[in-house]
Amino acid sequence: MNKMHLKKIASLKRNFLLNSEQIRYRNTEIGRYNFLEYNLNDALVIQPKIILH
Amino acid sequence: MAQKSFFILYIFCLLFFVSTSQNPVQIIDSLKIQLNKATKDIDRAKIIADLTWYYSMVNTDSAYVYGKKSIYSAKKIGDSTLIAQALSDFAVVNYSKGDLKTALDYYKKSLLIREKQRDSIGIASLHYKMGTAYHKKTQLDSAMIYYLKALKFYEDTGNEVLANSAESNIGALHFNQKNYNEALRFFNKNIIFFRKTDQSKLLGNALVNKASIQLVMKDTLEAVKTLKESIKISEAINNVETLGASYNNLGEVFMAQNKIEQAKDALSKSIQYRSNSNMDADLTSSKLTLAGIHNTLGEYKKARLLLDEIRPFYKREGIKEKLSTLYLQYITVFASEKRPDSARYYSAKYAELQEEIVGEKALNITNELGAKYESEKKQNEILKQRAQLAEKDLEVRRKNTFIFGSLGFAMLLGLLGYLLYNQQKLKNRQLQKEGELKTALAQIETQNKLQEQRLRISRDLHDNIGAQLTFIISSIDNLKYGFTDISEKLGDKLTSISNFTSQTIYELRDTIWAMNKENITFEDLQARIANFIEQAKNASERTEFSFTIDETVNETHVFSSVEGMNIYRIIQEAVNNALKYASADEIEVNILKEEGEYFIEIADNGVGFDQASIEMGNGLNNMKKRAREIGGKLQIKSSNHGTRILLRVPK
Repeated sequence: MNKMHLKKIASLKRNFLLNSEQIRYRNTEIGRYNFLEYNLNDALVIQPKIILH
Repeated sequence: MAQKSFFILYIFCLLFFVSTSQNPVQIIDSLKIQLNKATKDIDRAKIIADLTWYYSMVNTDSAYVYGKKSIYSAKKIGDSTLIAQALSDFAVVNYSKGDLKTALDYYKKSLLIREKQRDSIGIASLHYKMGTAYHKKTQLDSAMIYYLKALKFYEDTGNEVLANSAESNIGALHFNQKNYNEALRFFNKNIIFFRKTDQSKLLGNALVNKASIQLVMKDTLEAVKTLKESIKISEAINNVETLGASYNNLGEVFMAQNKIEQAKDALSKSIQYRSNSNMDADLTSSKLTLAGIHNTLGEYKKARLLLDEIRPFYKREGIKEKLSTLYLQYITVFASEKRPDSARYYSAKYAELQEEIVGEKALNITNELGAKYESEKKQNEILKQRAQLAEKDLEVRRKNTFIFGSLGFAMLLGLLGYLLYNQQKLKNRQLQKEGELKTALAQIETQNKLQEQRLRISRDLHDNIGAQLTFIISSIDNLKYGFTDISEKLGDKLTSISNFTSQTIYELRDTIWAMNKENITFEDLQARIANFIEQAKNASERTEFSFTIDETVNETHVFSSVEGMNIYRIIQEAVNNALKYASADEIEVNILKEEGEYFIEIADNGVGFDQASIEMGNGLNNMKKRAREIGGKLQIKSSNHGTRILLRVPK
């Protein structure tokens, strides 16, 4: 039971990290955008589709 | 006629058969050397106690002296264990001397100390010895009580040798009480056990006892066989006491069979062995029997010598039956010596003593019957008490088993409950943790999906609407340059539409950016404003620009992206207006903080405008709309000397 729980927790944490990493990456790109100088298109990064386990 | 005296041997001192592997005389010599060397009181006291013990086996007088010394030494040291031992040893010495009363007194003193010390082994040993003292004193009921006490202890502690010794003495008691079958049962049991465990001394004793019963039961042939076996075993280990008793009893048998010479030989050997032992009473008894044999054989002088030798002992001890036999032998001797006066004297003494004895016998028989009855009663009581004790013990054990069983069961249940509770607690914690993680994951997934969705919408807006607006601008420009004959008014209108569309593109981009950005720091905003002013400077070289931020402003303050965007656009609009319409050559942008509000001031020294007369254009209206969106207020003050726009934003 304990082993199953640990496996489940590890899987949940992995997915959580994946999501947070994607959000962080987008925010970094948008934060870097200077809306007067650059084309906004550069900042609008669409993530590859998230596959949840 | 000499009275038959078959000796029953009861085992007196338990340590005798433990310590006789060494010669007591050698041990005594060695102890004396040690005593001379010993300096400490405690060592000396122990050696004196040992000397008392070993002397009691060979010389009662010396033992008596050392016994007294031993008590004195032990008392001087004040060691209660040593005192108890010394008292017990001195009692043994008195027992050997035949002073049973004194022996019992000292045993009782020793017993009191050992009872205080709760020394159960010492107590059992004393019970045993007191049993032998009472036994010898023919207080058979008391002897039985003490033997049974000792027996119970030895049985309980699993000491089979000592338990059998106690049983041997109980058998001897039964013999004295003429319970021959019962006595024989004990002796047979003893013989089997002692033979099995190779206890030669005790086996010899048991055989003597068995032979005595066989003699009483008139089984003379078997008795002789048994005695000869006892003699064989006892000779092998030089057990003088048993040999003395065996030969004495054998002599009595030969006497009964009228084999006088053989009887004489046997008695002589008995006396020889008993001279080496320390039992005066037994030795004297054998001598008296031998004196009778001498008389029978006509050896009167030898008889007289023996009688003279033993007379003081019997007089001193006052053993009437023996004294009576002694007088009878004297009559025969004096008759043979033709001394009628002496013969008459002893004849009268004999008659007188016989009268006493008969009287005493009658009394004794009465007492004996009473004693026997009492003894049986007490024995029954003891047995009853033992049964009750055993029953109580069983009951207590049952209760204990039940209590401990219940406790164990309860503990087991408790443990199981505790384990289950812990398991459940752990499971709950795990579920809670999983739940929390699942919730967090669901939130972040939602956030991620929302952000993703926003991005898709933003891209669509940018790519589609942005491209379309750009197409409109491009079309208008083509229209303006393609048709040269358009009026000035139409041209201006087209330019205005083109500018408005460009503005729309910028705003669209701003909206997209603000929609995707959570917040903007003051520092970031400041950089963007500085950047814009720098561009404005490049566009209008004759205008002076200044941008100041008060020290009270916290540079780490964070605006939401909407706030940041609107503040920036208001500043941008105000500066554009000053450049375009006011012909200002000085423009200032100042930011300061007061009482929880930010003040953003854009001032110029241009021509100004009349707020009452001009219609609010798109620019001013946009600024006001933006101020409202972020919960702020916009004030516009304009005169001929310039315009001042003040934006107040709550912190």
